[in-house]
Amino acid sequence: MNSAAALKGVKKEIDDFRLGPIDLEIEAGFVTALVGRNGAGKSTLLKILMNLVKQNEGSVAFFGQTLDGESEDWKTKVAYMPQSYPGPLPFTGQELKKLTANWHPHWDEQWFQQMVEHFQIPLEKKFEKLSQGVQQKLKFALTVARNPQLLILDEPTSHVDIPSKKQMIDFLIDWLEQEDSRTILLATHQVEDIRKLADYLVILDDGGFLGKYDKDELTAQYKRYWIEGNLPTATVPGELERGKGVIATKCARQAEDFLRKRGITWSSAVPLELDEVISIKLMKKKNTALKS
Amino acid sequence: MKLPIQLSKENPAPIYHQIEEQMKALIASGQLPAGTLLPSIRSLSKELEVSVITTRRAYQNLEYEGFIRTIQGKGTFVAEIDASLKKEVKVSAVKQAIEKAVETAIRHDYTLEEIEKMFLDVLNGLKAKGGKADE
Amino acid sequence: METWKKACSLASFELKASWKSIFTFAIALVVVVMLIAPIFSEMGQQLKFFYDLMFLMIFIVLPSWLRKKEFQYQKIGEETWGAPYFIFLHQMAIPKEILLKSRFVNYYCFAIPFHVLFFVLLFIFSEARNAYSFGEYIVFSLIWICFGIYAGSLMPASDTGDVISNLRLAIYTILILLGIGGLFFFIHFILGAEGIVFWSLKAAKRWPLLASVLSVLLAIAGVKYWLHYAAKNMQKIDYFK
Repeated sequence: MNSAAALKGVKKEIDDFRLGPIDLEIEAGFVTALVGRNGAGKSTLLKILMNLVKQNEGSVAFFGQTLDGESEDWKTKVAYMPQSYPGPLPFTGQELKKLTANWHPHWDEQWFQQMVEHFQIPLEKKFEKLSQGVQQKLKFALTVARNPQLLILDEPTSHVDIPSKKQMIDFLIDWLEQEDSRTILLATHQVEDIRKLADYLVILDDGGFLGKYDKDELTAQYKRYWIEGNLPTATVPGELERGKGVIATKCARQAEDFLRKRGITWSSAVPLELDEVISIKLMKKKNTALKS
Repeated sequence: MKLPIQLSKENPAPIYHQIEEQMKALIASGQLPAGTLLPSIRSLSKELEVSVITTRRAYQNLEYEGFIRTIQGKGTFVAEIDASLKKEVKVSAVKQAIEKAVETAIRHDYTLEEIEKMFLDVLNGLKAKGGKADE
Repeated sequence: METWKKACSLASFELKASWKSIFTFAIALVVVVMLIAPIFSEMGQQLKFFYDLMFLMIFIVLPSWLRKKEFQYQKIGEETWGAPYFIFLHQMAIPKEILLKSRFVNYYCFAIPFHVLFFVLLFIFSEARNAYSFGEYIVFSLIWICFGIYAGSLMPASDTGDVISNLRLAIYTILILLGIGGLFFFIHFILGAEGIVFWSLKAAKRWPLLASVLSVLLAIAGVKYWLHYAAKNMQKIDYFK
């Protein structure tokens, strides 16, 4: 597997918040979604990758090359969309475009114009005068049109209206389709982004790295069974909850073997929704720690 | 283009397998004639809300079995397939659907004889209507 | 040189957006010239202490105040100070060297014209013409314009940010003010000397060549030093915003 970005033993302390240690590989050609509660350290992690925040320990590598603080070749291959700009900018969209296009050799003007048209962004207006949603769209277009190898997006679809959210996802899909090695790493709170875009999920919990999961494998493991007859008295492997005739588990395969052995049948088995799975992951941290 | 593929959450078969089976059915039935350009792995993954890992696996299997072929730089197309393979797929698809119905009946504690009767009832009902199923 | 050129083109972006600063620029210039003009008169001899302070202000901090608020050094986080626009640029694929140089260029685009015009206007509207030859006045101007470069470059170098708590900031500010105040008090009232502005006038008269060469060398070294400082600082600061 080609690596687009990698973190090795990355740790960062900020006052009493601790991020890491994080060992993570972002595979080229895939979309990795970074999820976690507010304040879990998602943005900080992205900023460490971008060398904006400096880790206390560990290293960052892009495309197999470890950064030493001086190397800058990676910068044209990686485009970063921050959650918000660091301060007010006295520029119009047109000016910001010129500024950005100047410094990114792979800038795709035609594509930028296409996005601007679709989102109906008034480029002649000052950035500060635009609504939050339109600012977000402009930031998005300014980032994606850089045409990098790796896109790092910090909550790209927040504050954006529903049709535009869909449109953003479609633009990203279009972009990914053009080359097999194109890669996205995005932090998001939108389940829709994860459903439609993500291949892998990286879950952060209060600075801790819970793991990287194949999205479909993860959801296939979390299932809810409607049991016929009586529920087993013993705990089912990976049992998360039980109710009237219903049992949910996070280890579907083992649970099914377990039920079959006891001659218990079920009328239906339904995978849990992605948001439910993520919530469970973020809630049950202590339990899993005890069990494993 | 959009493919009329519907993944069932309740279906215990793995997702890649469901994609494969439904694509085969679409191709065998002629709904997707030979030469049709198929959606990219990425866009089908988006439509079906699954990861490209899953979709790629389905495409790879379909390609291996000769249902589709990929032309570098152009995309993935429906392949020309033998009439016998078409028939095989159709038969297996119908059999699978019947099997599923039978399984449902068994789960509801009907005997095989009772199921056979039900099956014939349905057939006779259709015959009376002129041999067409309700759309 | 290539990087300086690119830095200039980058800096030109905010200069275009800063045209309104021309008003602040003009007003500040008039006020400053009016305040400093009496320096060459009889009255000026009584206020040497005041002129020393004014020159420090004019040549270190004033030019950065002329910049548009968005481009200025400001508080951007609880304990973080810096120029938001610098961070914005830092998030793009701009080579570090060009990025930093553009901050310096932008600063000099305010500082150097301001200082040059200051000396031109001062020459016209004061009695300097009677007291000093044209050549001497040029050397005097050069000493201070160069000072504006090697000391004033502290300002664009600071765009890269600082992390400092309010308490520390307050303590440092007080210490710096006390330090400068104390030094000047010592020079003027303990030593009874004429102070730095008058020393520079004397240097321009007595050792014009030496003072000029030394100033230019200091300016070059100063730019190098502050660029180096800024590059190192950038590698240290966390840009959370």
